[in-house]
Amino acid sequence: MSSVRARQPAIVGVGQLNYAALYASKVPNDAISLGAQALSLAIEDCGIAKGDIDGLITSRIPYTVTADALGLKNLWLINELEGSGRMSGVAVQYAAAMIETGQAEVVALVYGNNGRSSAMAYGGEAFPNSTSIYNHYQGMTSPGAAVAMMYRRYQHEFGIADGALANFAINNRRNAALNAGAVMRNPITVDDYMAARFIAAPLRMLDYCIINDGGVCLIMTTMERARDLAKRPVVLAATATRGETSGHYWSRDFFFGNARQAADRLHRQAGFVPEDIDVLQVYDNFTPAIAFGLEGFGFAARGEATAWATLDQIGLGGRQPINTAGGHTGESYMQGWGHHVEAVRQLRGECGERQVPGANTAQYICISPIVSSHILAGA
Amino acid sequence: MIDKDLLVASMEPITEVDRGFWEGTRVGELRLHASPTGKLYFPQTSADADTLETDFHWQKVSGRGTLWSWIVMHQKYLKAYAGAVPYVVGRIELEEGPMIISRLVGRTDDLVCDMPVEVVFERLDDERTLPVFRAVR
Repeated sequence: MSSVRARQPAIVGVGQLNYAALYASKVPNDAISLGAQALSLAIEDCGIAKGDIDGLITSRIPYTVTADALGLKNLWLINELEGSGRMSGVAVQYAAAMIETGQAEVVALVYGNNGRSSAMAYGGEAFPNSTSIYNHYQGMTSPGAAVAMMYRRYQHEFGIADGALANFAINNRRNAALNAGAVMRNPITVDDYMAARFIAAPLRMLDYCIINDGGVCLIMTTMERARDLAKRPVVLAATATRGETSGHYWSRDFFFGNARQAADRLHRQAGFVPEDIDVLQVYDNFTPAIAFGLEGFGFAARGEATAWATLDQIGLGGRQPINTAGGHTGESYMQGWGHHVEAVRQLRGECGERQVPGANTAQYICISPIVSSHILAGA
Repeated sequence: MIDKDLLVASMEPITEVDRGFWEGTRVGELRLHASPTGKLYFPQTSADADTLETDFHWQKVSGRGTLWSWIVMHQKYLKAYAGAVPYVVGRIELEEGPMIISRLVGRTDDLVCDMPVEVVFERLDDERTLPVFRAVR
């Protein structure tokens, strides 16, 4: 990596709730309260005073009442990104740009999700665009079904057999078993995977993220300031996003072209190539997204991600550990926010039984209509 | 079985924006939004993506295409479709270019990507007829 700039953005504080405990509880949760608890944990994590926060980006919770509830006033940066998973990476990039250009010094990114309390189904909801409305008339709904549609095509183009995604689901659960805060900690086998019921074939229940409640907060500031804090600074070495949107959750090449463009930009910025990455956190709303991400960002050759991803390769102790906290199918569906927390904790060496020894570089990848990725490094 | 009454009840009211589409299906024609340059869109869109013109008309298309991919929906997300699971939905690339999402009717146990498909019309009530597709063998 090239030398670190004084105002280069760093993630200094992380906070997330205990998803297992929330899942076990029958008490409905308020999304802003979940965000507030996460902020409190992130403040405690980095030791920055709440009064020093001069920027707020929310996602899935409204910036207006959230800022008020959190007692954050007179901010140099305040905004809200919609509550879709693609926005976690976008939020980090947004905060980074504002920090590096001097618009803000300390930015809190606060996310609250009470999807389980509010009985979210992630299917059947009408989005106010003509594509979504019309598709409902045809019985087509849910992001999972849209990804299933792409995955069937991917299977056709590259000759991929049914069941090829099992390792991603199995690996997530193995890692979740080592994470006390994870919702789904019981291990699964290939037989369990194949026996799971179809939701939108070719995808099965075990390809799908959990629907649960939680909250996440990231606190970002400059490297200059990060060096004075207690924890090892985690520098944002590179970030890139690239959009390819429509009324559909769809791309003819499974977002490969845009992922490749983003990967090139990342590697130019950071000087890292896939072989240099110690820990990978790959957005996995549905397991095909991991395969698309591994190929788009150059970890596996085109069409070969599922063959590449043996449990020895992607497991803890493997050459390329993936989703070390359990990902969206094992730990919690925090729409990419939890993946960021895990990346930071791995680089600090805080992950206990699931720690990748000596992890010094981590990459976040999200394949979606806004492809996003960052490279994070210990500094 | 699809609950046609529930499906119709769940639909957005027809407006000036999409009236041409529903007028077409009622008489057995698939009509797409066409911009002044002749570029076709489905569903109706807000502007021509090349010229930004916003003046659209409706144009009849062949109703033929190929199957890009498909899913089998098992989950009961939509009330009108709860009694129909599992059912098949495809992404169809129309001969004229645009993609259309459609339920696939008729035989679906031998589907393969890129196979030819054609439109058929399913009458829901006097106002609404839904275009759906079937494989051509």
